[in-house]
Amino acid sequence: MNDLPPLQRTTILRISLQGGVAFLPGLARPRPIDLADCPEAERDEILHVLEASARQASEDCGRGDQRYFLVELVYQDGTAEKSTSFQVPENEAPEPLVGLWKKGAR
Amino acid sequence: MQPVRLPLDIPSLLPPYLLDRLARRAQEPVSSRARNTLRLDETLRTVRASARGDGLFTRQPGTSEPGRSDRSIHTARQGTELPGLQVRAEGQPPTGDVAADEAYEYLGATYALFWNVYGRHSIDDRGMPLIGTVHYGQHYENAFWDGRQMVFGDGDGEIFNRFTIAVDIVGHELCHGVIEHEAALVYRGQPGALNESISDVFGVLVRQHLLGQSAEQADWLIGAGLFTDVVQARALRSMSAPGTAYDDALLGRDPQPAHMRDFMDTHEDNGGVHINSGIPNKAFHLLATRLGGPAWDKAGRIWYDTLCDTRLTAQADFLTFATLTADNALRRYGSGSLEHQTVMAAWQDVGVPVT
Repeated sequence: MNDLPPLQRTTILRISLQGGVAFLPGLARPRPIDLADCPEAERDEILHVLEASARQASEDCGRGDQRYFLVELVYQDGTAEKSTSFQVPENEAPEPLVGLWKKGAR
Repeated sequence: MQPVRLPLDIPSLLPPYLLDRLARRAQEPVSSRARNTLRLDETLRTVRASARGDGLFTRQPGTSEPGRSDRSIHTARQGTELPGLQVRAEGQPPTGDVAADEAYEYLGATYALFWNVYGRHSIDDRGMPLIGTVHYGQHYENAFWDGRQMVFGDGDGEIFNRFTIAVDIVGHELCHGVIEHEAALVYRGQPGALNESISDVFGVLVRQHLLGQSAEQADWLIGAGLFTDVVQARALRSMSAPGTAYDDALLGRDPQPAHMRDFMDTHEDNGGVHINSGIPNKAFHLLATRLGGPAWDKAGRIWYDTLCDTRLTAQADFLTFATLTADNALRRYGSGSLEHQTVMAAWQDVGVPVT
């Protein structure tokens, strides 16, 4: 695994708020952000948010009903569509990530 | 634009757990550079933890005598600093703050179940203080156990009421602490669903014990009263009929299965911990209602014995847990006893056959 996900070719970003005392499908539904037609400056801004968020990522999220953000990236790798994801504990999530989640279409 | 290559100094996007995998599995020089980045990350996390005061935290030894709880209720004043300002200590009169007084009463009810029925002296069985913080965050729609204390949000007032409204939710969160001190079930997949189910079981038993309800009289709902009238929802979960607690345009439909044939494989919800918990929840409901009487008595004792059984490992799956409940029923009530047979039948009926 020598390559980071090719972020410049990321087409869809999905952010969902997971965990909590129950799984409520309607509230946990991923909120997609379409990056395909996103202006370059806005895309760069989003990528900075993702980089900052990924530094807070943890595999051990959710224990004891704590909430976390699940960030999923769908990107083009040649002709293939691939995806990757990471999780950020709610209390470690950068505010701009929360803003992106709120901005994402329900 | 060129694809981003893995920088060999600091892989900026890689989450720590991916770094950990790289450090352990990748070839040099990627492996050693991932280890360096992990060390840097760990240093930063330690600095952050110290800033929060975590570095100074040591678990307070219990000061209360066995049989006496040591409650401490705090308010976060709509912030997120924990534990926040103390508003009521053990033995002090009500504050007049509904959420704070509910937290105090319901943590007491939870202590009472564990002490009066199972002889357990608080979360760690050594008198650990029961710390609860209310008014956490702004319109915060959750309650959780953070490894040291219980935390309760006020809800948004539109869909959710305050999270102290349901005694079984308070009991559920405290039980997460008990589980951490016993089997420490991994919070993912089947052991995670067992973790959730056991918290539901003792949460609902706290409520039944407080109200003096028999298994037949109880509604077996988790989180009744938590939702406002805006949504079509009776509760968060139903242990008697998993999958029927809510069906609403905003919330979606309760996804809980009641049988292994409907087990849900999913990457969401830590691998379905709050979803597949419906299966062991239903097994407990069947056992308790078939035995009749107070569910905290025979059915609860069998579950408690199993939770404290050193053979229950952190990675236990449903079958392992079910087998241990049958063995604990046998040990306590005898081979071929009604209790032993009923445990076996309950698991059989949810698709987890114990041989």
